[in-house]
Parts: sequence; C-alpha cells; structure tokens
Amino acid sequence: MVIKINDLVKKYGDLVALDHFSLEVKEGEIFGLLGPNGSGKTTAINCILALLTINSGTVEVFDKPMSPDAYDIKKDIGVVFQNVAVFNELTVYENINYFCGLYVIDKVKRAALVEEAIEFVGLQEFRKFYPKKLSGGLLRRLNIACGIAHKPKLIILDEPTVAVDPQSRNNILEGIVRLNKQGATIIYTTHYMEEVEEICTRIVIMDRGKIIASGTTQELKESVGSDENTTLNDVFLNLTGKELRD
Amino acid sequence: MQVFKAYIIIAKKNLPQMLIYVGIFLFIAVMISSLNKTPPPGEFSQAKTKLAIFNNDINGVVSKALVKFLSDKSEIVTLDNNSEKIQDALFFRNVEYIVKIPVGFSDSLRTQNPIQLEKISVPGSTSSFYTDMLINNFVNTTLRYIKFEPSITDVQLASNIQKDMSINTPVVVKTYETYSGNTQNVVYYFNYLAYSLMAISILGVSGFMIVFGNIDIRRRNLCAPMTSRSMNFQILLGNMIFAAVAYIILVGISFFLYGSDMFTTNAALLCLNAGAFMFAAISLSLLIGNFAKPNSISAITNVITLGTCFISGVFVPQQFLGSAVLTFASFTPTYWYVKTNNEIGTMINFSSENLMRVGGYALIELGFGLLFLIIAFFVSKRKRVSNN
Amino acid sequence: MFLHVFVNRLKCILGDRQIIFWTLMFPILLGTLFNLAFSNLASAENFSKISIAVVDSPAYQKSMLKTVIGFVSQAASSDSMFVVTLTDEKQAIDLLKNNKVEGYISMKNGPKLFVKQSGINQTIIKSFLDTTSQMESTFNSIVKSDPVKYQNPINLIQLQLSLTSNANLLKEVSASKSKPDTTVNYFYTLIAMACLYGGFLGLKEIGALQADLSTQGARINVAPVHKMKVLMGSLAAALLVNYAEILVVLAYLILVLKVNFGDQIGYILLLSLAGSMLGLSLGAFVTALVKKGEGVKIGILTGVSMMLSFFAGMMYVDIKYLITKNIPILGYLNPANLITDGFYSLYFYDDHTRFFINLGGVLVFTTLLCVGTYLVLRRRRYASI
Repeated sequence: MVIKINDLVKKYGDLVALDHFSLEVKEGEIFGLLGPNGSGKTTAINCILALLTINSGTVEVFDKPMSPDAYDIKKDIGVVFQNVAVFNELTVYENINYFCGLYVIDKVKRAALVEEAIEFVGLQEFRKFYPKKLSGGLLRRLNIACGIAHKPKLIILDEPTVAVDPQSRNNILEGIVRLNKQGATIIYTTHYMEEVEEICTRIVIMDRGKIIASGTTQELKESVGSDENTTLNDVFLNLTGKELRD
Repeated sequence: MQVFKAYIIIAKKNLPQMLIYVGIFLFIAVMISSLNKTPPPGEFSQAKTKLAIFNNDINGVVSKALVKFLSDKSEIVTLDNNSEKIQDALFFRNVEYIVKIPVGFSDSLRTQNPIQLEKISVPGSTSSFYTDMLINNFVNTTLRYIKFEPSITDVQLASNIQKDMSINTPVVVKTYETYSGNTQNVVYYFNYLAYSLMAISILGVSGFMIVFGNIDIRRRNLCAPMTSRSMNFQILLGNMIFAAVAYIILVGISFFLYGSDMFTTNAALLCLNAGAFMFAAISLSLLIGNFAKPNSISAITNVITLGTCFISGVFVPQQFLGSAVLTFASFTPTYWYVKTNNEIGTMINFSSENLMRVGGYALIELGFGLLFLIIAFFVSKRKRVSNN
Repeated sequence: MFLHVFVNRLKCILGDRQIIFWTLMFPILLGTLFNLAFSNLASAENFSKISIAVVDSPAYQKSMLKTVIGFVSQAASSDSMFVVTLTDEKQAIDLLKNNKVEGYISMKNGPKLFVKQSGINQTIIKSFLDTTSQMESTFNSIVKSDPVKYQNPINLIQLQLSLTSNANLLKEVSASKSKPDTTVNYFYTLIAMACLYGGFLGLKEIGALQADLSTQGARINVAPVHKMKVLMGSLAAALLVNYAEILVVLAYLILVLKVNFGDQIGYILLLSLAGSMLGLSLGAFVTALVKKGEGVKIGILTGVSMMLSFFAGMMYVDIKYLITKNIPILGYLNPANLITDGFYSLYFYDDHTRFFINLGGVLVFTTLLCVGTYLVLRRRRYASI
C-alpha cells in the first residue's frame, strides 16, 4: 500500500475540512481525486505530505507513518503544486537543478536526472529562459519538471493542467502515463473530467471532507445510469449537485 | 466610480501598515519639535555651555578671576581630570567644553610669552564658539590692562576685569498683539512635518499604486468601458482623500500641542502652506508609485524624504547650509516649504507685499505638484501601450 | 547540501535587481546628500551676514560702538558680520517688524538691543554689543588711570587701535586621537540603518522557506532536507550580499566622501559584519513571527528601522544624547544605537573598552533574534497554509 489514510480529521478552527476521511492507494495506480471547490482535496494532499497539523487519524506512506522528519519517505515523493512554485531569478535549468538537488546530492547523477526531466517535459529550447518569459503552459511544464526530476516512486499532482493549451496538456497527460509505466504511483486531482476518464485507473469523489463515491470510471458511470452517453461529468454533477460552490 | 471604490477597499486592507507609518512619523515629528523648544515669549536667553574647568594655576589671581567669570556664564560640570573620564563625558555630551589653565598662567601674562590655555571642545557648535569668545575677551582685556598699565596690581587687575566683563547689554524682546511668541516652536513642528507628510504620502500612495499597477488588474481596467481620463481622475480623487486624512491627522495634532498659539494668522498661514506641500508630496508619490516595487519602496522613501529634508533645512537650519547646497535644494518642493514656513514664522505685518511673497513660494510648491502630476500622467500613459 | 542551497539562493538574491539596487543606493545617495548638507558646517565662519539697524543719535555718534561698527561692516571686507542700516527709531521699529533686520540697537540710556525672537543671530548681535561695551569700559578705565597721558591724541589713538588687535591664547588640544565631532554621527547612523535594511533580505529568505508564506517554501518543506540546513544556507547567502553592500557603502563614505571612521580597519570590518548579521536576523525574525500579509511585514520592518535610527540620532543628533542622559538603558537596548556608538568609539576613544561593549551588545541582539527565529520556524507542521 503506497498511501493509507485512516479516519483523518482536520479542522480549520470550527470548519471541518476533512471529516473522518479514509483512503487507500495501491502501488502502480493512477489515482484520481475529484471534488468541488472546498471539498478538501488540497487539504488531504497537504496532510499526506505532513505539511499540516491533524486533529486525529493516521497517515501512512509506503507502509510507514508519515511525519515531517520522515526523510526516507520524503525522498521518494514528488509534488507538483497547484500554484507554480519556481524562483523567478533562476533559469529553467537552475530551477530544476535546485529542487532536484534537495533530493539527490550526487552532482553527476543529478545532472543526468535534470537533463532527463527537461527532455521529458519538452523544455529543451528553454533551458536558459527565466520564468517571467515563459507562457502559462511552459510554466506548468517547468513546475512539473521540478517535482519529478528525482524520479520519485509516488507523484502527487494538484491540478497540473490549469490554463494549459491542448498540446501541452496532451503532452503532460502522456508524460504522466509514461511515468506510471516506469513504476510511479500517481495521485492526480483535477476538474477536467476528460483527463480523469483518459488516464485514471481509480477515482475517488469527495465532498465536504468526505468520500462520496469511489471506483473505476466504468463503475461510477454504471452507478448513476446505464446510458451509453453518460459522461463522468454527469456522474460528478449527479453526486455533488448543481449548486455553485465557493 | 468603480476605481474609486476599489481604492477605498484597498486602503482599508492596507490600514494596519498605514497606522504604523502614521504613528511613527507623528511620533518623530512631535519628539523633535518638543526638544527644539525656544524660550518663552518675552524672554531672551543665552544657552549656557556645559563647561568643565581644570585650574592648575591655583595661586594665580587672574586665573581665579577667569574661573569665576566662566562659572557665571556657563553650566559648570565637575569632572575628574583623567583622560578616560573626559573622553566619556565628551562622548555622551555631558560636557561640551573643557578648559585647562596651566600652572603659572596668571604670572606669564605679564611676560613676553604668555602661556596658552588648553581647550577641548565640540567643534562647530555655537556654544563652543560662544565660550571661545568669552575666554578670548577676558584674556585680551587682561593683556590690554597689562600693556597700558604695567604697574597695575593683580588684585586691581582682577577687579577691573570683573567690572568690565560684567557689562551686559540689556535685550528687549518685543511682543506684538497678534503674534504669539511661541510661534517659532510651531514653525519647527511644521518644518518637521515635511519629513512626516512626505514619507506617509509615498508609502501610502505607493502601497495602493503597486496593487493597481499589477499587470492583470491593469489589463482588466484597461478593457473596461471607462476612459483613461475617468480612471485617472478617480485614482487622483482617491489619493487626494488619503492625503486629506493624513493632513488632518498630522496638522490636527498641532492644535493639541500648541493650543492657543494655533489661533493666529501665522499659524493659519502655516496650515495653508502645509496643504500646498501636501499636494506636491502626493503628486510626487503618484509619480513614484508608477515605478516602485514592494521591496524597494522603503529605500526609495528614505532617500527622497530624508535626503530632501537634510538639504532643504529641515534638520539642519537653512542658514547653516552653503549656497550651493541651497541652490541644489531649490529644485525640491521641500526647500520652498521650509523657506515659506520660516518667513511666516516671523511675520508680524501681513502686508500685501509680504503675503504675495509667501504666496509666491507656496505657488512654487503647487507648481512642483502640477509638474509631478503631468509627468506621472505621461508615464502611466506610456505604460498602457508598452510591450509589458 | 549547504553549499547547494547557498549557491542557488545567492543567485536568487543577486537576480533580484530591485532589492540589490535600492539597499545599495539608498545609503550612498543619502550619504552624498548628508555630505552636501554638512559641507558648510565645519567652518563656523560661514554664517551669512546678519542685518541690523542702528538708531542714530548724538550718543551713538560719540560712542565706541560707532567706531567698531564702522570697522566691522566695511562692505569690502568679507569678514564683516553685519549689514548695518543707520536710521531713526520709527524706521528701525518698522524694519524689525517686517523682518528686514534681526534686531536694532538704540543708545538711549546706554546701548540696548531690540529683537523679536531669541535665536542664534540675536545672540551673536548681543555678544557683539557686550564685547564692544566691555572694550569701551576697559578703554575708559585705562584713560582714567593716567588722564594726563591720554590728553595727547596720539596716545589715545594708539590705545584705540590696540583695542582692535586680538591675541589668541586658546590652544586646541584633543582629549583623544580625534576631535569630538557632531556630523560623523549622522554617517554612522546611516551605516547602522543600512545594516538594518539587511532585514529585507532576511524577509526574502524566510519567505522562500516557509510553506505558509510561499509555494516555493512548501516545496522545501516536502523535501527530505532539514529546514535548518536550508535556513543556514539561505541566510549565509543573504549575509554575504548584505555584508558586501555594507562594505561598498563604507568604501564610498570613507574614500569618496572622506568621512572619518578612524583607521582601525579590522575593527570597522568586524563591527560591519556584526551589524549585517543583526539586520538580517531582525528581518528574519519579523517575517517568521508576523503572521499577516507581506505589506504588514514590510511596514513593520520599515517602521522599526526608522524608529531605531531616529533614536540613534539620525534626524536630530541630540535625541541620542537626551536618551543617554535620561534613560541610558534605552541607548543600550537600541541595536542601531549600538552600531552607531561602536563606530564612534573607534573614531574617538583611545582604547577599545567601549567598542567591545557595543559590539557585544550587537552580537547579543543577533543571537536573541536568531534563536527567536529558530523557535518559530522549527515548528514542522502548519495549522494552515
């Protein structure tokens, strides 16, 4: 079991962000985490990463309890945050090199990994560019490269394709599948249903801090209706309602 | 009026840091001006130097007379005659002037080679200048008596010198009906306001302009069906209101500090002049706000406010600044503001000639303000269609 | 790992052009302007001429004052202190009222000075009148001592002339190797302020390292590195840049503006280093501690450095002396003042006791701030990010 969350409760003051939340992610899965805005997706991810204090419950990663000091676990995790997290004063190459260097100390090994990462996201022509000069799509690709350069066994991506053109998005999705084939377990959150349908092996839908549905795409569609034209979007709206969220 | 409303919202968000700034700069202005107090009206006083005397010529009659003379005119500080204690006292300004009378000084005055007195003082201070003068007068008077009355006895000599040196010109400080003698203190406060008003303007306005200058917001604003004239007007309006609030607080405090002294024509003119300066300050802030980034605002503020205040006579009075410096400073509104305040401070006769003169200076301040606004307008127009 | 973080953070800081430019430029620009403002002060003789009026009267025409004024206000003489207008009483009153003169003198019943306020110029006029009257008294005394001799006009004139010659029997000695000086304090306070501005670099570094302050910080927190290592590397890079900037400013002040810091280079460098560390740790501490937005942090840092500099005498040097006289403990509690006094003691004192007291104070502050920062940052998890 790559991730095992048991009965997790996380409150922000009086607001219950995660309400007795339990989750299991197996090795080799591409796991989709869906939910309306404010459902607790990002909070769940931050708890998995041991960034947040939790009120009760446990989080295990790679069958070991997760904590901020668990460096042996952390070195095998890669994160691609929702906000682009790169330094404007470093070039594309320097950014990837810096963040990879927090995981891989050996310079020779790291250089090779950085090259691979640049190639992987297709930023070869932009190695010497500064983030300010990159378009939204390229920035996202850089963001991804910074998160996966060290070849982690678990990759968490929080809405990685926001504001990205179709070519880049396709590129990213293909890349994720490739990473998965190379052996990484993926956790993927997004609002884009087509993406989820395309690549996720298992899906969990959250709302108000609880899981309200889980299964494969097929299973979820069947649970709502057996119409051939039912899309995952319909399933989602069915389960979470059509009201606007925050 | 959307832009204006946005201004109000941003101003409210920025309130904590604005309060910090207002508090600090108000505190500074009040502190400095309360330290710089001139004597009460009608009194003429000479500041007494903090003086330490080491008289090694114990038997010298003239030396004793000198000690007595200096003691009457200065604030005597007792000090141990060791170098460390002396250094400490000078370091902490417990003493401003030290004079050492060497052995045999009195007697040597009658010879061809009189011994010199030793002095240690803080150079450039008016008190040391004044004490120099006192000592020199005393000594030269002594030498004159000795030269022209060689047979005069020491005792007679001391008595003559005592009589001469005790002559004191009476000074009458004229008071005028409509003029408050405390006006000078009010002028000091308003001069220091140059620092506070400008600092608050730049920090406050830039805080707002940085948010508004954020490129996405700017683009959103530019696409809106609002003329650039309307947008600029609303931004100006918002800033003017901010300026008015700051002005009211800072000038208003003076009414608490100086009470009835504020209800004179002089004070009224000072308030008006401060208003003119505020306009210049806000316009300058608008110009700066177009360029500044959050990290550099503090440094820019310091350079401009402290720098112009130093060369314009806020911290060092204008009469002590060289003419080259003053010419350079005259390219800043601060210089004219201080100059105007100083003139208003001593004005008794509000003739049209006098009023026109200070009015002219105030107009120069307003002119600076207008100039800054025009430049700011052009800069922001250029930014509109730049490559950014 | 330390080196990796150090090198990259160094690149980040140097790439932030605005911050580098302004933290360097502001003390240089201000120093230049200070220098301009003070350039005239050193020579006290450069006071501008004082306008006075004298009420003409028979008494005046006979007086010593007339002779001395005649001597002192010769238009050609550049040493002349006064611009004198001889007029009647009504005019004189008017001139005073309209600020055309600083004071007027009347000889009715002996010399009297009429002024409107009690300022430096008025004191100078009074002193001048005192001296003149005193000279007159001496003159009369001497004449009275031998009336026969002074019936001879030659002797009288000789006496008169002698009254204008002055011997200077005052020798300036120094209490220490340097003269006490009021203006250098402003420059020392400037350096202190420049050190405190290192706080903005501290702000930047802590911001890049805390998950609740930036997403880049979140990346650091999920990486398998001890936050302290990253902190050390970041602060070391910031210190290097800040110290380098201070050295540039010092070089400018000493070599170009010729401000006197004394010649003990080693100690100067040491104090500057301590000052840089202080500023940096102040910024780090404020950033780590204050939970509100960036604007508020900047506001606090700016406000604090201004206040501390103010109390160290930056705008008005007497504030500093006021504090040391009345509440001396405050002088030691002000880090800016410690830096300023540290430089001044190097300049002024012969031995180093006071210097080390000040240096020690700076280091104590730095340590406290670093410990404080560590205590806040050491929390590994956040309540929210």
